[in-house]
Amino acid sequence: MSNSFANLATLELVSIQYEITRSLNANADLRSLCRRYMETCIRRLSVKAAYLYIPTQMAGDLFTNTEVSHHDWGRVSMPSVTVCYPDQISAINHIFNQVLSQPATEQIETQLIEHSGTFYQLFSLSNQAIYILERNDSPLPLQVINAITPAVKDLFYACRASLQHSQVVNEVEKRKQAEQQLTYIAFHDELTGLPNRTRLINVLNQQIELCAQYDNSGALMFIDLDNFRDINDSLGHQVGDELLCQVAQRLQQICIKQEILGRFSGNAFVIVCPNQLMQQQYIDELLLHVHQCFDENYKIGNRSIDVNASIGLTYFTANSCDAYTVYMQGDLAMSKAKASTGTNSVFYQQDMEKQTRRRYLLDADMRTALAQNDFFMVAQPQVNQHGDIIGAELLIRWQHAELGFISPDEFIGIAEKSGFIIPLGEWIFEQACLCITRLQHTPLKQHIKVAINVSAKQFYQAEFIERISGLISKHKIKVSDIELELTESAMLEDIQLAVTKITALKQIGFELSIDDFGTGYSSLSYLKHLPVDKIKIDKSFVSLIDKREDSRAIVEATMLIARTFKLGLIAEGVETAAEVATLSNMGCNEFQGYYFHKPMALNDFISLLTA
Amino acid sequence: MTAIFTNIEFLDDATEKDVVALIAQTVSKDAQYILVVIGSQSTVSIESIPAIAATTSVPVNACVIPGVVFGRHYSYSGTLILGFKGPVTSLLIPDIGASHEVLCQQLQQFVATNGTYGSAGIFVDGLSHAVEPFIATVYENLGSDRILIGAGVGDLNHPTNVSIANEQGCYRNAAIIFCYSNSFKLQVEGKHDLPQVAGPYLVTEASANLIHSLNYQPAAAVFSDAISAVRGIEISQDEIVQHIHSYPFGLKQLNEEYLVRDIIAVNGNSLLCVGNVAENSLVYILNATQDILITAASDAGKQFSQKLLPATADQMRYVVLIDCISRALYLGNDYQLELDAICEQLPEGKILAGVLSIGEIKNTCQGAIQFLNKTIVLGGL
Repeated sequence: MSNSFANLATLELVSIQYEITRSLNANADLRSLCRRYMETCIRRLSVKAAYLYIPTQMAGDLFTNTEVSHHDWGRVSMPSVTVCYPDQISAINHIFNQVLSQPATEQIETQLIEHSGTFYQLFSLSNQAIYILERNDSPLPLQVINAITPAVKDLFYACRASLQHSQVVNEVEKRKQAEQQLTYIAFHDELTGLPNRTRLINVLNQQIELCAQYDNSGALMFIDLDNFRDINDSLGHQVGDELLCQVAQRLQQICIKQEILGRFSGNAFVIVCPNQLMQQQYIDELLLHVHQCFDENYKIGNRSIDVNASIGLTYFTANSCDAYTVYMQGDLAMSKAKASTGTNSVFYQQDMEKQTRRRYLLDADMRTALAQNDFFMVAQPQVNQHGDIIGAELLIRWQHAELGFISPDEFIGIAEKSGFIIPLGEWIFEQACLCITRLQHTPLKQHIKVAINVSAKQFYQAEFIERISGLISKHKIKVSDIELELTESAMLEDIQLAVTKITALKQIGFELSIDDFGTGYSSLSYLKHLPVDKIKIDKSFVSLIDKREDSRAIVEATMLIARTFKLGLIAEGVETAAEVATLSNMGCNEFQGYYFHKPMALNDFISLLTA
Repeated sequence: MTAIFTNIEFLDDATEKDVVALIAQTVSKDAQYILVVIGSQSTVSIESIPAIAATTSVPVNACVIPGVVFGRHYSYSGTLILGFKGPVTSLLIPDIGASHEVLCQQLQQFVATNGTYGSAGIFVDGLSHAVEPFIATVYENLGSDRILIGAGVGDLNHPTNVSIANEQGCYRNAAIIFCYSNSFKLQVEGKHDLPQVAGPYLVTEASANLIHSLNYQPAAAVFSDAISAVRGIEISQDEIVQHIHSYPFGLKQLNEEYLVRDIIAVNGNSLLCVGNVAENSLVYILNATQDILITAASDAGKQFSQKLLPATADQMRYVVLIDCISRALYLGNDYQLELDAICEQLPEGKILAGVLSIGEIKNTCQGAIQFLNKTIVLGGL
């Protein structure tokens, strides 16, 4: 204890310098490195405590909350700052403030400060780091300070290098996280967190490849929520989104094996069942569980929402073309399930694809057919109780160049769906105008009216009235010669707009009739608001009316309505004398049907009129 | 009020039954905490302590240590039962080699309970490689304002045996810290007074407690050359094992005594020490002789007594001794002379009670905590 500092041997100074510098070589994190360095100083230099200050801006997450001190500097110390006694803290803060107020330098500055009998040896580097050694009784000898100054410099540089390295690592880590996030977003649905379409396509392609490996097949369930748009429209998108999340959760709970559940599109979910799970019993059970997901109403806020889903199922094998084809098959089967009334789930069958292909073909060919005049009109006469022709309904026909005769039931539906019904409807209207023009130039025994069908899409088209008015003007015919037939269901789509439009058409002079009357299930209430002229009793009520009491009852009710509202009445689809007799006895005096005339070419119709 | 013990009981060749009875006796004297110190050759098994502690109404900790001292008597088979007056908070650290974060958490709890001021005792597995990093962690977390006195525990003949126990079980590589005053600081005196006879040597290669080379030469060869020169006779490398107890290393410290590192074995060209020796540290070869040791013991007792505050001296009945087992092993039967030398210097009526330890623990004059060798540490409160 009585060692004198006066003659510290060179070897001892070298030893001190080496040992302190050596403590920086440990392969440890910065905090451990600082701790080891300070431990070495305490042991080797016989000091009481060591403090290392670094600006927090440089230090990253080196410091804990308790170590961040004033002036945006943090401090690590040995012993820990939390166990330094109050006088010690107060003294070191005082010393630190004193150093901080001094001008910055580019070199390490050493300074000895005595405070209340304690000696503080300072090493500072241009406001980048400050190292303080606290010692009782006597200061460190100058030779020792000179010897350890390079070691302290090494400490500062080690800290700076380590912190810069940490910042680079953090930056790389952040970028990595951002990339992972981007990848996640690219392959997951933002709303539900489920795999999105892109991910599902990838997964399914992988599964198809695995099918070849295991010589097995997998399955895909395409689950589409029914009437989801109504929920969005009536309850808002927030409710719709919440519902999708809840559906996703329920479906996720049943995917307990290795199934992959994803959100394919707006309200369509998909479950990909890997090939190794494939057994019919498994598929049956999974399908049952999917159905059970919709057994109970969904609770959103204080609402209880009944949701159903249509499910299409398909299998995939190594021979499946690709994921897109398999999804299309599932979608087709789902569409079939949606259209069918008896079931909510349908397995894909090959003919569905054929039907679809035919639909696409017809849809495409319709456009060229119109240009090439492959469409033509036929007329089915309408007669009175004496069999005299009083009018005709013009009906469109399509003789396909390759496929032959195409039923209007088939192509009208496709045209409705694709929107082609609008140009096609205009063409029909124009054909009616041409027909009337011919009739006007034909000497007839009596005045003949021509009726044409107007589709809902055409009817609700904003410029519908202007367009048909233009055609009337173009062909210079009387408006009253044309009767527009609108189906009951078309009128019911938007009853207010229908009333407005029919009123406008009536003002121009058109006559209007309700086609397929009785099939819309709400016949009575709206009729009084619709300024129509005639009701056409649907052929489903006419057929076998002589034998079917229920049909008679409906027709009697329809007649009563017609009488009440002073509407004309015509029965369509009349095929037998008994039907005519029954309808006549009931008071119906106008007919259309095979019993009187089949649809015929316009020339034949005109010949018939002139015969 | 500075006396900390209710009573200290000593029994040579005690049985477990005796220990149970002495614990009961200590409890009856209103002891709030009991420390059982078992000599390494005692028939009392530390494995019996958890059951005894579980049925005792106050906390009981125990440790195995090479030897115990009571009055002028020392024993390798004796047992000391120390009863503490006040409620003592003890912390048993089951693995001193645990991660720094884990150790810090445990020690910070101790600080949260006891604060940073006062006095504490520490018993740590002296044969563990983790002793010195652990001691540094203790200082990091306890600070310099609490005076520590402690000993390295364990059985030199059975280094892998458990050495510390509480009511939960027995542990090796463990430590107990117990705080016996949050108000007063312990009076501690430590001393060895061993003179340097050779050096300095730069430790050019070392790992933990093994010195491989000194001044870039094989450590054993340097050592044998040095003691040959000191003794004036040729001592071959094969013979140095007979001299290692007389010539420990001393690590040079600023403003402190040499930090002694006993050499306990020669491994080829390397020398195995008690306690770590850092690379690039500067060591000297010290010389321990009977006269030096006994004189140092006497001086330690004298200095301790001189520094005792009158208030402490009045209240204090026992003086705690932590004495290095290497001193006793070196002195053999003459160790009694060392004990006598210490006791003769103590104030009248004070009883020496303590241990023969595998390393001694105390604060440096700056406050840091050090793991020492071949040193006498005296404490009193």
